[in-house]
Amino acid sequence: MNFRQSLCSHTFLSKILPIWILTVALIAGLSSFPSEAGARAPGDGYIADSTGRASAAQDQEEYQAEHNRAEGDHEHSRIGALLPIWTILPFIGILLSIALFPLFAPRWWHDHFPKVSAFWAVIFAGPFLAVFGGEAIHHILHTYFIEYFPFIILLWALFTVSGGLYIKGTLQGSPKLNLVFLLFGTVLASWMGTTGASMLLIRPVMRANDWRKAKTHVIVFFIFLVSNIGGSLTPLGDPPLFLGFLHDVPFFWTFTLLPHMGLMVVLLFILFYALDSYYYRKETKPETFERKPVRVEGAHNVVFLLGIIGSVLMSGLWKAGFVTVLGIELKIEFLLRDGLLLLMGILSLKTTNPQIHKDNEFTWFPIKEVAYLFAGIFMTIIPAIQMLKAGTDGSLRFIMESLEEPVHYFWITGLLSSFLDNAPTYLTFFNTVIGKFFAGIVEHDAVNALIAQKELFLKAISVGAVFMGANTYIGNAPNFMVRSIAEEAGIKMPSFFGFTIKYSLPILFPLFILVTLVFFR
Amino acid sequence: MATVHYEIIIKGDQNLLCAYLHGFLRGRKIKEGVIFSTECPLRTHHLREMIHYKGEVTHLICRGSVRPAMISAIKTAPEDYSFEIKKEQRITGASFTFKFETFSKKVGSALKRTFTRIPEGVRLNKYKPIEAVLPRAAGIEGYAPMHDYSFQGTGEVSGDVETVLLFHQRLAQNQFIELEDISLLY
Repeated sequence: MNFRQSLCSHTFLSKILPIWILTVALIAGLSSFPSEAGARAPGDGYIADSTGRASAAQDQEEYQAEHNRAEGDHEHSRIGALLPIWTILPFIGILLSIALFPLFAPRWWHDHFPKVSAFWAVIFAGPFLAVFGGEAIHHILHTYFIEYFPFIILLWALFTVSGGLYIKGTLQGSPKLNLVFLLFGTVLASWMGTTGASMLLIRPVMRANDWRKAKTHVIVFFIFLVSNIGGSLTPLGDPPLFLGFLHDVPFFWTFTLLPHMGLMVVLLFILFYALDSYYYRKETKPETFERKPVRVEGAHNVVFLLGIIGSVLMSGLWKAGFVTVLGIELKIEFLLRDGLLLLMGILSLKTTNPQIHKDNEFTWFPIKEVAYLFAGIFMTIIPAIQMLKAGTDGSLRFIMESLEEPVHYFWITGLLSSFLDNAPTYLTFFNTVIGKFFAGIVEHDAVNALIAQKELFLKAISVGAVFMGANTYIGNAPNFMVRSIAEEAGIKMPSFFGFTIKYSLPILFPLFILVTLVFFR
Repeated sequence: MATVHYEIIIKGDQNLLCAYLHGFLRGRKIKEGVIFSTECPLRTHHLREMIHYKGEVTHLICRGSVRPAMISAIKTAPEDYSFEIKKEQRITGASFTFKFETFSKKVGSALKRTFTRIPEGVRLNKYKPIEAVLPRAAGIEGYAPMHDYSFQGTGEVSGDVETVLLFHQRLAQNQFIELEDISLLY
């Protein structure tokens, strides 16, 4: 069986595709059952424009359904007032496991991380189900249907399609060329995800600089810009922003982060150019350099990438109504989006030359990691989210009380995102502000109100989560990927602490202080 | 027959001493056989020596053939230079420890070559290279990073002072090798 066959026939056609068909069939079958929260027929949905504001065209029926949903949401937050604070221990446990095991027991972690994730999930889910029964089932299903599956499907689609693109050829690395690479990667990161852009460009960048002795800084700035900060502009860019999008933050809202990103990026470019020029001058230039013309293989995958962008955009702009599955209301446009994302990925796999996947060292392991670990994260995050949604009635009210200004949110989200995964960190503080200012309000309205009245808080959380993922190797998944690829190609990379002490602290932290002074003071 | 070396510990301003002795060596057309601690990664106990000798000291390593001339130069230096020989002893050799780690097969091969083709007059002691190939770790990981190939090692290099120093300089060019400073053997 060749590589393409193994990818297409074994993994997808035999596993993922039937699961998806089964899910759709299940949804179709179950959607006819009425739910407590009020079932909706397609087309009856809450109408909102791309900025998320409610249209004046709501009729009485829609208003009633919305009211029912708000009631349902209020019911949900009641559980947050009952949960004791120690129920967040499994959440802390799984985040610390992800942060610490790769550093202190990498081999063991590599082989056993799914069990660790399952362990923390069961530790929470067992007692939760035993005590809250049906209500707990509802919360778990809600989390997986609304957050987990769409999250994994998007990452899978972006990973698959970007894995079908390969840039061939070699250029001679110079400060100007490296700057062009970084600029291109930074722009691309917002549209194909930081992981996709990193995987696409890291090898061409390394090939171009292969002749140079000092190239560690190139990879470090690549991690800063392409693997992290570049992903600030759209929900496709970085997982935290997609989670925001899943929670009704409008697709184009992230464009309001452009000034924050612009300031960081411009200053980092200037710094990089100065540093790279300094090292470049010290290099002994080769007399001859074998340049190979650059060309993109698998370029047709750009069409699938545009399909992904279009699908996500469609789900943010079009309101097609709801179907209710097991008491969980699912937006039809979101289901359609997920189906299209799967389709884009499958088409990419079917049409991409297997050699491109080989050249990209494409395997499913990174997606398995995300799927297993986030299955645990999304399970264990339930109590934290519910407590935060309960506002001052929840056990985490001390967080809301101690965090008052946007600047607090910027730094606390950022610093925690440096050491814990930035997606759950974002979700935690996103719910903190919702709980602080709009507790008990249906989420869609709460998010709209948040944007209208307390936008700076959301900006601070978004920017903190995305930017400060660059502080350490464990802040964002592509950081480790880029580091591994560079090390295996013979580039000396700084150690875990070396990265932070030599690069993040002296370069990024002054810039974060500047961002604070300019935007969040 | 191995060249005999001596270590001379001289108290006095380091910059002045180096400038003075370099001038002396140039005048005498002595181009090799003298090494200053300020110009090579020599393990010295700087603070302890400063306290012990109540001032700045420089370690001078010189061949036996140059030693009388050097001593004479220090002793005949102008009085206001305040150079003073504090200690003089014969050196039997020098050594340093090293360690390396790489996840690149290409770099691994180069490291293997480096430590199998060591220069004459240098010994490799306690050399422990560990090469590991782990096929199940092949590919890219984001949350559970592991390399499918690794080559790491530790060891000690010892031998004639000048050869050890040259070898140290050569290894220092390789960014994957971490080197300790050179210790003198008496």
